[in-house]
Amino acid sequence: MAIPEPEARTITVALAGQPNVGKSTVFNMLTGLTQHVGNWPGKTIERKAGTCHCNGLTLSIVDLPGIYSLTANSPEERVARDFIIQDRPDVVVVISDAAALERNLYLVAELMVLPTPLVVALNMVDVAERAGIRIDPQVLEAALGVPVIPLVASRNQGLRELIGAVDHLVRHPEGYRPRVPTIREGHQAVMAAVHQLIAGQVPSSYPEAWVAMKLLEGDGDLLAMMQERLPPERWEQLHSILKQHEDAVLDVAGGRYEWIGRIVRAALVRPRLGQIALTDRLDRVAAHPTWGLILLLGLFGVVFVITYGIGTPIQEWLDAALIQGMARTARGALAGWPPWVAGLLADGVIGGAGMVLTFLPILVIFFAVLALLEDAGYLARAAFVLDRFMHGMGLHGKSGLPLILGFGCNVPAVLGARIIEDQRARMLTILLSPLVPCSARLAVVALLAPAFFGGGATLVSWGLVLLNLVMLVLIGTVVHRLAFQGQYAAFIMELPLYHVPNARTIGLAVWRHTWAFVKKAGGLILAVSVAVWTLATLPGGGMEESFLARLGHLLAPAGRLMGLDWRMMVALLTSFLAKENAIPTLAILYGAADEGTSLASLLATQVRPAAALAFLAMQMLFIPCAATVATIRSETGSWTWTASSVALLAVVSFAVGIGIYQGAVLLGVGV
Amino acid sequence: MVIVGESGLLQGLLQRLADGTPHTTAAMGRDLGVSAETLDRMIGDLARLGYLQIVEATCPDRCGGCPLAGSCAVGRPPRMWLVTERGKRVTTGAAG
Repeated sequence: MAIPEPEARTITVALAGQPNVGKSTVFNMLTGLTQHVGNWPGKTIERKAGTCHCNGLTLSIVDLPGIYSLTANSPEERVARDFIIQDRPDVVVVISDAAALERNLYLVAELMVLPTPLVVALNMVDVAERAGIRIDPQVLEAALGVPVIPLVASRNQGLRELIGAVDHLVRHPEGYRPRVPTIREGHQAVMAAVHQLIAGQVPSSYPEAWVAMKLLEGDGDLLAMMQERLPPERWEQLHSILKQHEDAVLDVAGGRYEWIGRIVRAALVRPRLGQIALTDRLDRVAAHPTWGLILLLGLFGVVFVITYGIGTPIQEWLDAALIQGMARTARGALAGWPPWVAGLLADGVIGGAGMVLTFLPILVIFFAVLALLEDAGYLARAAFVLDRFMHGMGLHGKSGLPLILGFGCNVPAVLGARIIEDQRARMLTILLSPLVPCSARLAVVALLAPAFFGGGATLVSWGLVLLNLVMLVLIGTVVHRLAFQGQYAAFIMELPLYHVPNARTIGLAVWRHTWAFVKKAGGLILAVSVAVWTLATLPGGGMEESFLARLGHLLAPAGRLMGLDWRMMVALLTSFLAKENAIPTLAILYGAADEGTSLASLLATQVRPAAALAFLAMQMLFIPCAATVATIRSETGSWTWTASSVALLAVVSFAVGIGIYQGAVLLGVGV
Repeated sequence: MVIVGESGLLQGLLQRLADGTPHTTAAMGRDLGVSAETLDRMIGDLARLGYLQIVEATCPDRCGGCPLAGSCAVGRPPRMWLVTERGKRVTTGAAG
């Protein structure tokens, strides 16, 4: 008769690891149908346990919740650490993602200082290999001082070896010698003092040295526990030491990071090729304080070169073939109607709002190039470089981020200033926001610069962007001195990796912008076109006698200082409702459809270059659109601040416009 | 200036930020000799402990559902962290 073997001991194994490292796969593979699922006592966190019979062993396996550390930051971390400390499993198996080993080592570092022995299961080694990451398990094992088992749990590879390692560890605990991270030297004496104060007062399941270290880290749960257990006098002493050394946590965590660095250097080789290396190389230029700025300005130039090179000829063709043709057809078809009907349709609607639509190719190309830069990851660099540039002038940090948002639209820039707690600084940042050249201002420049300057449009547009940035920095510097008293706001910014732009993403961005522009053309711009035509026609007797001319003549004295006639001043005025309104206003008032000549030719012959430049500079710096003004009012809750913003921009834009024109007069250039 | 080794990686990160110039995470990782993964975690720790403060546009879910997303030049604004008063105290050696 065979003698029955004594009943094998059941080994309790806790599976620990970060979320998404394949912990559940390992658990399922090991426990199969034996698993049972419930909740941890008093928690709504799922508790999974099961049994594994393998290699003649019985393992009771508990799948702990996914955790990043043992610092009781979340209910999951409390559950996991309480189980390991209080229930004392025989072994903790830390499942780590081999492809992201470095990220997983922090948890290993924390678990290692506990008395329960560890096995590191290096899961997904196949994925790591495919990514070019090389880990030598033996070197890693030697560096950690704990068993390391490579796994591909999804293919059931390495699990038998894992169980073998657990078994060996339980049978030969004397061979377990983990190379634990240590607290940095600066606070070792403090930790010893804390240890001494809590000695004999800690529940038996808690390792005293670990509790001392966690107290230095400011662990709330353990602080509460020790406050309950320590005599008041000793608690006061402990509390005083911890308060005095509240930054000891930096040495505790810093010690772990340095330990991770050593392990990684010893056992892991990462490929230097691919996206990260490419991003690093490109950013040496793109995020450089000087080269980055030069690249940014250069790219703005390229954007305009491409936009004008392709878009302007198409716009001119559409203007000549479509708008002039449609206007002629409309006049012919409405020959028997009252003249104002034909005038309204041909000059007001087709020559105004219709003219705006001919600029669509320019806008499509402009937005496509910007979307391409954005999708490739460059615009985030532009934001960083600009912030760096602003920093050089003393304007940076919290006021920088909202201002960067302003490059898309000034409205989110104003809204973005909410991140600034200080009321005065927030108000002043809002005040500055409209100085950022938003995409609508840039679009107007993109549309009008070729009409005014033909082949010189690229240089002019580029110079105007530069002008805005210079004005922003100049005024920002003054504002920063007032608002922040020169305080710095040190910061670090995470930039995305560069990647090949996605055609669909770019297409969607272009579609969104274009559709928004078309809707605006069919709504607000059409309404303004009709209103401008009506006011320029009534009460009859020619445009110079019209209501609009009377209004325009009121503005003419200011306009004369910049070489602008009343029509240009009215165009400036209508751009308050939406920046693009300047185009139909100019088209109607210069009679582009009526004359049968393109707007570009009319403007080129009737507006001198110095005046045109003054006009465009004013467009870039003038009062923001109505939507931005309304947002300034709602965000500041103050009409005074709103009026101040409008007044500041009016003064700045007039000063610059006058400066440009008068400078040209003095030099005798372009007048 | 050698920071790491004298005062620790986390203090080193704060001290480098204290020069007041803007930094990128990639350049900082290079300077400290740590990978992007470790730096990300270090920044997360410093933020959790109150040494850094994350600065984000106020949109609660970033660009998702925002009617202005289309007109936002930088799309998803980059994440950014500022050094807090507690962080500044570390760099000036005011704390223990």
